[in-house]
Order: sequence, then structure tokens, then C-alpha cells
Amino acid sequence: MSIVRLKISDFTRSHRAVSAKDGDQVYESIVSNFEAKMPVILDFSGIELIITAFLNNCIGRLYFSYSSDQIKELLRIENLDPSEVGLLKLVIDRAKDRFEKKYPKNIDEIDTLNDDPADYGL
Amino acid sequence: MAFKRLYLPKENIYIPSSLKTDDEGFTWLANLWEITKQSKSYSLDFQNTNWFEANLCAILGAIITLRTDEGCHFSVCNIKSNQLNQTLSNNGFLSLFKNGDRTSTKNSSIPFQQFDMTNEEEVEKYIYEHVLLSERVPEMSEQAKKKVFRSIFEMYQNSVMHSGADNLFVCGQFYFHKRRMALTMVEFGRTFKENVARHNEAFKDYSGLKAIEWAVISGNTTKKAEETGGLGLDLIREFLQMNEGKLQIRSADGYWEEKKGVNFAKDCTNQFSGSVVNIEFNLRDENIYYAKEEIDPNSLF
Repeated sequence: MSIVRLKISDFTRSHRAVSAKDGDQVYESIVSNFEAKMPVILDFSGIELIITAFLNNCIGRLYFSYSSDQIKELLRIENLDPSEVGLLKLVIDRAKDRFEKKYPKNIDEIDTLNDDPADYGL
Repeated sequence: MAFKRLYLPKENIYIPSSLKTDDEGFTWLANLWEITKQSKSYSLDFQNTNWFEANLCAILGAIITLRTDEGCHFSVCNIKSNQLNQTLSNNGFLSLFKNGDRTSTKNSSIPFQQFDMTNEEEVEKYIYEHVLLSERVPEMSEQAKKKVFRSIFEMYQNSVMHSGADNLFVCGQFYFHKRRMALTMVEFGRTFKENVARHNEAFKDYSGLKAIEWAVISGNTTKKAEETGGLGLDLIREFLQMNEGKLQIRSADGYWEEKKGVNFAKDCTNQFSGSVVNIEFNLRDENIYYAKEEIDPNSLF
């Protein structure tokens, strides 16, 4: 299976990834490859400064449509400056937290056909 | 061919004796936006002005630019102090006026500039050309500088994503004796109050202040359900606390500030038809902010 390499600097046209709009473009490209079951490498080489607005739009949003396992399987980060890893962690943790489904502990006792899901916080 | 000179009624507006980057200064400028609604010729009179913080040119310049587009005419008069004249000249503010000094911008200031919100590359260039030039901040660590840049870009992106405005106006000033730098950004788009009310029906009666207070809480975002956000302001606040800097927001009828981690907020008596953000950085910052993460980024998924 071939792997698609997306070079971030090709989208940002600079040494910085500081635009949410550029993040959207990277996201669109990731998704179109994911839909074709093509693994993607995000190559951050040459990028010296990143902001959360960029990472939210290109990586954080993925958690709305894909599970952690799917993302783990299809996405790989390369050449990310070690000083920016903390920022990526923040964005991913926040995205997981926002989109993670929280099921009630007594899920097996719920009559899913007749009960109102709102009564269980669903 | 002879052109008819359009007659506009003339009005003098006296700039206060002291115009500072605080709730009173913002309130005066919010009022200026309201009182210049009519197409008139306005003369901004500095005869009483002893103190004027140059980064506020972002707001004053925005008002003049936008009202001029609507048919007003502005001039300046009675700038008595040479120092003030030089400051307003150096940052390019006076070049807004036909009778103003057109001296080119000098590197002692961060110039007044108007940006098209869609032209992000211009803003990037401006920030890198005028903010934190190494000769001005020799004692600031590289990590601290990076945090300053990140804070500015996060704030700018907030305006791009949430205001819906066409333009952003920016101006800054180095206060060398205090070793601080202030950068003011202003737009006349959707306020924090409007965005928060739109986001959730339950928030529709929030005051301007309550809307700002909601927006600065970690994790809160007015973005759509399928998007993520709410981290940028949080990171800025965290950094400014360490840096001993200051963050101020004036939007609609709310004013909120955080200085060295201490908050001050108030409901204002008038409305500001957009949002102003001022960030003040401490340039004596030699902190080492982060160790490089040893973890594999791919283990984070």
C-alpha cells in the first residue's frame, strides 16, 4: 500500500504553521486520503512555529469522524520539532475529551427501545 | 473641469489629557466611534494631551480609517509635545491625515497598520519584521520569544475565525524604560457577546463581560460541534502569567484584564462595536519555558 506524504510547509508556504485556514486545507487532504484508505504522513520538516488554531483544524477535527484506532492506523507524524510535541498533545487530548462518547455505567440495564436517551445523559 | 468642494460641518474633538490602555481609555475610544457617526469634518485636538499611549493608535486609527470610508474627514491639531509628535509620526499614525507628518516609520515603534483579514501572510510578515527584533530584546530567551509570537498569532487567528470583520488594525509600542512591549489589535466585527449568544441559547442574555469571562475559560469555544478549539486564549494566559505580562479585552459592554495572574473586570457604560485585545509582554523574560518532549508524537493518537 502506498503512503501519502503531506509536507506541511507546502501548505503554509513558510516556516510557520500559524493559520487555521492552512490547517483546514491539510485536514481536507488527510480526509480525502483516509477515505481512499491511504495512510498519510504529516511531515513537519522546516516548521519552526506552530499554533493550536492550526493543529485544531488539521488534526483535532479528525477525532469527530475517526476513532483513535483509525487515526493511529492511518496517520503518522514525522519531523515535528520536539519542542512542539507538547502542543500537539494538548490538542489531541482536548479533541479526545470533546468527542469521546461517555456511556453511563448502567448501559446494559437501559431499555434502548423505549427509554428516553436524555434520561441517561445520552 | 472644476470640482465642487463638499462642505462638511466641522467639529473639534479634544483628546483627553491622558489616554491610557485601560478601561477608561477604551471607553473614551468606544464613545469616539459613536460620536463620529455623522458625516462631518472632525479636528482631533491634542492641546490638552500630556500622555497618549501609542499602541492605542490601533483603535484611533481604525476609527479614523473606517469613518473616513463612510464620508467623514479628519485632521489633527495642537500636538504640542515634540515627543508625542515624533511617536505618532514614527508609527505612521500621522500619515493618515492630510495635514499630518509623513515621516517614514522608524524602528522605535511597531507601526499602525490595517490588514485585510484574508491576507494572513501580510500579518505574519509584519509581526516578524516589527516585533521582537533581537537588538531590542537582547535579554529575552529564544523560548520566551517563541511564546510571544505564538500568543500574537493565536490572538490574530481568534479574530479571523470569530469576528467576521474584513479588517484588523494593529499598532504597538516598546516602553523601553519599563522593558515592556504592548501590541493592540482591534476589529469592528462580531463581539464576544454576539458570538457567545449565537453559540448557545442559554447564553443569549449574557452581558459583554460575562461573555468574555466565559470565552477565557479553558476549553470553552464557540466553534461548531464538529470542531475543536478553546486552547489559544488559555495558552496565552498561562504564558503571560509566567512572563508577568498583561492581557486586556474590551468588547461590547465588557472589559476584562489579567495582569500577573490577577483579574480585574467591569461592566462598561457604553458599547464597543467590536473587540479590542491588548497584550503587554515583559521583555526582561529569561525564563526557560519547556523542556523538549522525549515522547514519540505518534504515541499520542
